[in-house]
Amino acid sequence: MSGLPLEESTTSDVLFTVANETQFGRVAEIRCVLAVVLVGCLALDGFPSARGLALAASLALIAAIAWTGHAGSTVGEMGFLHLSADALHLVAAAVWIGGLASLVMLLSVARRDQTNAGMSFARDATQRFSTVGIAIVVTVFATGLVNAWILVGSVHALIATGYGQLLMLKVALFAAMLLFAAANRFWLTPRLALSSGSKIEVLRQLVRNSTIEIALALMIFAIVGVLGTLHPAIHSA
Amino acid sequence: MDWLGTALDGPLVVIRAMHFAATAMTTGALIFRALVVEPAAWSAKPVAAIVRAQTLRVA
Repeated sequence: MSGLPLEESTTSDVLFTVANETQFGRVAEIRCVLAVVLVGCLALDGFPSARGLALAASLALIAAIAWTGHAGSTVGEMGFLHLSADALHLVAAAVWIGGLASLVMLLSVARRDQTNAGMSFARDATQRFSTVGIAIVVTVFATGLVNAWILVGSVHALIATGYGQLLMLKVALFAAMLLFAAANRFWLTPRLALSSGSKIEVLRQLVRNSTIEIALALMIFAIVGVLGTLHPAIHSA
Repeated sequence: MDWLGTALDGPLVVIRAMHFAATAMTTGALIFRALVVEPAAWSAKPVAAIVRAQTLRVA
């Protein structure tokens, strides 16, 4: 951000300037406050109002990342569109991945529990998450298209630049995630509602597929980490 | 580290990826609890209590 080597960029003067005189710094300060609020609310999780505030703080914490990336430097009306799309993209991705991790834990508890009530809970939760998942996938796809249109701009840039090639790899991993999500939604989840067959085995397959989805998502996070440090393809082609 | 002629800042990339993953897990776990666990909890309260606690631990 300062363009200086690490040793020179960590002096108090430079840190003060970055924190107070750049958009990145101001957003980072706001996100620090949000993180503190979130930790406090999680510590007071017994109170319903604290739970609501924790939810709001966590949503703001993830959405605010949009202002620290490429979307934060897009100007004019296009900037508003880019920021909105990026913030929604981040929130939808977070709901998917964080939800998957929680679903894996829930299904593992139900597998160990092995009661009818536990099985019914696992089935209800899986069906609800599948419904939420459809909205998530549509949001991730639509906002991803907007982001790609603004940051890549052409098929040539998609193919000819490192940024574009990494983006294609990200889309391929996303497509692989969709295959596992579809198997869970249209093949395994209905089998949880059937009276016949081994539901424990179905739970095991759901856990396996969801774990693979999480692993693919972690690869996407690594790609996102790289993309954020590269010049957008539209400036490089 | 280099990607098609562009120098990459390895530690920055790793930290960005970890930060995003951790923030996403936290938000997703809390949304999951609100939208999935709580509405489904009436059918199995003991299991739901364990899941609630685990979700909070993730967050």
